[in-house]
Amino acid sequence: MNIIGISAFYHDSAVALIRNGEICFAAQEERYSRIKHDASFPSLALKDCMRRFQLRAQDLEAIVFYEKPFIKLERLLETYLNHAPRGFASFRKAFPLWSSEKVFQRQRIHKYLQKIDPSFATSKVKLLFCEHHLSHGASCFYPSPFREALVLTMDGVGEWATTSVQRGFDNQLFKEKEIHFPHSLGLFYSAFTYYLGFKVNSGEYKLMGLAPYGKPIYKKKILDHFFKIFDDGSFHLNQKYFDFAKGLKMIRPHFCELFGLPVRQDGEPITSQHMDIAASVQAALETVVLHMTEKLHKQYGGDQLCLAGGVALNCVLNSKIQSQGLYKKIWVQPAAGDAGGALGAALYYWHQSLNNPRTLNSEDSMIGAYLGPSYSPQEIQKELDEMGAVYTRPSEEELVKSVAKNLSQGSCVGWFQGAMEYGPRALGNRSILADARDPSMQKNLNLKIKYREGFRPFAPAVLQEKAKDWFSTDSSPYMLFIADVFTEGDQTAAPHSDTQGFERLKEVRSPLPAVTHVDHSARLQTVSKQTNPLFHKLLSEFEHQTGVPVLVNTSFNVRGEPIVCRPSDAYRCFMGTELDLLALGPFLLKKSEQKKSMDPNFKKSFERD
Amino acid sequence: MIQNSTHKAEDKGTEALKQIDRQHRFKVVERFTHFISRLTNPIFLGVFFFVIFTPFAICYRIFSSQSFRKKERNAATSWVANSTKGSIQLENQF
Repeated sequence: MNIIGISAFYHDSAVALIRNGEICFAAQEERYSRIKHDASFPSLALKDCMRRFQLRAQDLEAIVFYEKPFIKLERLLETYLNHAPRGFASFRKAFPLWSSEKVFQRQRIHKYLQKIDPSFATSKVKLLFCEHHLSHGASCFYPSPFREALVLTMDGVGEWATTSVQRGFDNQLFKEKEIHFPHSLGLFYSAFTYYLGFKVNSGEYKLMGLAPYGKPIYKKKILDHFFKIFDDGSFHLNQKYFDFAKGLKMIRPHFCELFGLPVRQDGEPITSQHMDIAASVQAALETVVLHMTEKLHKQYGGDQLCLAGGVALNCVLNSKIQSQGLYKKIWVQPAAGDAGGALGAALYYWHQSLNNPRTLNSEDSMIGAYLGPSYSPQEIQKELDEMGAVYTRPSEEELVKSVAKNLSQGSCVGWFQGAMEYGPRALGNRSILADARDPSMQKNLNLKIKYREGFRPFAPAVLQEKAKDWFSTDSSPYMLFIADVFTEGDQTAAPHSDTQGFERLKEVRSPLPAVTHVDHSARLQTVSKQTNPLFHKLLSEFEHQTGVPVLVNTSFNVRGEPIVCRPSDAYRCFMGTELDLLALGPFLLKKSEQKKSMDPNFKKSFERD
Repeated sequence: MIQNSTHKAEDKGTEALKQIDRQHRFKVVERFTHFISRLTNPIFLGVFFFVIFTPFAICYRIFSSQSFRKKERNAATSWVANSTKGSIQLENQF
């Protein structure tokens, strides 16, 4: 039985395929359309999924959409009822869209499906609608290694819910309680993302990355003015400071007055006050969520927690929940954002509605999140030939040795292997790799390869069995937790210095300076032989050559570009950046041997995020 | 015969010109209607929003217990307990 899950029409639209309960495929539309955070119906991803698994409409049992459009429409209408006559500017823009997007959602989806396969018109495939936060909950509970767990989902907003508590037992998942719009931790964080001059729904990582440069001196102010925290762990967000409910902007003038600072515009310098605000927002978020998890643990007990929703992509927060020590085991869905809703919606139908049993996996059922499209050597070679690329085809041993050697000599390598990752992180199949020991690597990668802000940190990939020698944790397969980087030898966290702001970037904080953030942490990925044998082999070879089982692992893209999907995307990115080497499946490409010259306009072809 | 084919070619040329003219006129009409809709939409929506929707919204806020402010006033929690036990109905859009 084939079930398709779909998320679309807000941001990060995606498709997932469940076949007899097994997760077979999942991919975001942005990877195909090459539009970052693409919100349109995932036609290209669905078409590719159906082609790869040779599916026609009649082969599908159901298509499950990740949220309920009428309840969302009700929330939109009720929000305007609560604010009119204020809110006309956004009402004028939103109202014409409601008729097409919300009221006729079913017909709209049918039209898209018929464009992909005309037989959808006559097929009996069911079109179903899950709830937004149940989709998130299902996406993290069902693939988790837990038979029983408390499920906490937090994001901007779904239909009404912004935070949801669910309980999962075996194949059953039930909603316990939720916090409703406009009281939203996701929107609170996004408001500050906007205030600090980053793009909403995209720049939240930047805020998180900026936080360690500052001091949380505004934390109390934020908690006092913005939050009313209740004894049971819930909260109210003071709407005096926010405009997202009814306006076209995220914040109101009172917000800026509180910090005595206007909204930072893109391109303006980041000051120490911006850094302090970022640090304070992160600290305030942690305080609210840790209070919530403490109360939830008191009420529901248990020692296993599943997390999903956009807020669960905040790896610093996830680690704080882990350090809190109430839950012995925490599992976070790698596609915790809205893209993951596609997977959750399909899983909810399979397990909950059809009452099919779960098969527990000791790790999890996400297959390392390598759920997207993969390309055969023949397909790769065809695309390379079409693009006039110059390549060699060494044996796997030679390829791994050559890449490891080049990395150890300071080269930056594009690494394109196997199935594409599902979710926002590149986990070693669509990655740019570099030597983490090089103190200048962070700056070089940011400015010459990724073309992004110099302050942003890079993540390390480490052999799982060696992680404990270098970091304060031994398991983080999806880069969803942070850990302290050890100094050489004594395994104590590196000492902190008194340098301030971006000056701290110049410090060498550990033997792995390219991946050690200014607070001496790293958002690491532990690589196991079972989930990614080739990447494991490369890390092992790098360790053999250098004694260090760690590499910088960043997504294979430039600023504003979705992670590469096809071999041709990878080749274009290779030729548009200062990457030295590209390992594309079994093929090896050296920049110096290419007949074509570098494309100087490549980085400009994507809208900056 | 030659005259006939010349006539046919002329006819085809005239038809093509007419087609281009029609397309041009269509574009002009399209732009004009787009301009009108941009002008009238805010007016119609404005009348709807301020004359019909706003009075209704004010009444709603006064009489409904579900308004944001009433729900939040003196609230001791913001948790909303799930009232429907069991699975949700996926067939419905609500």
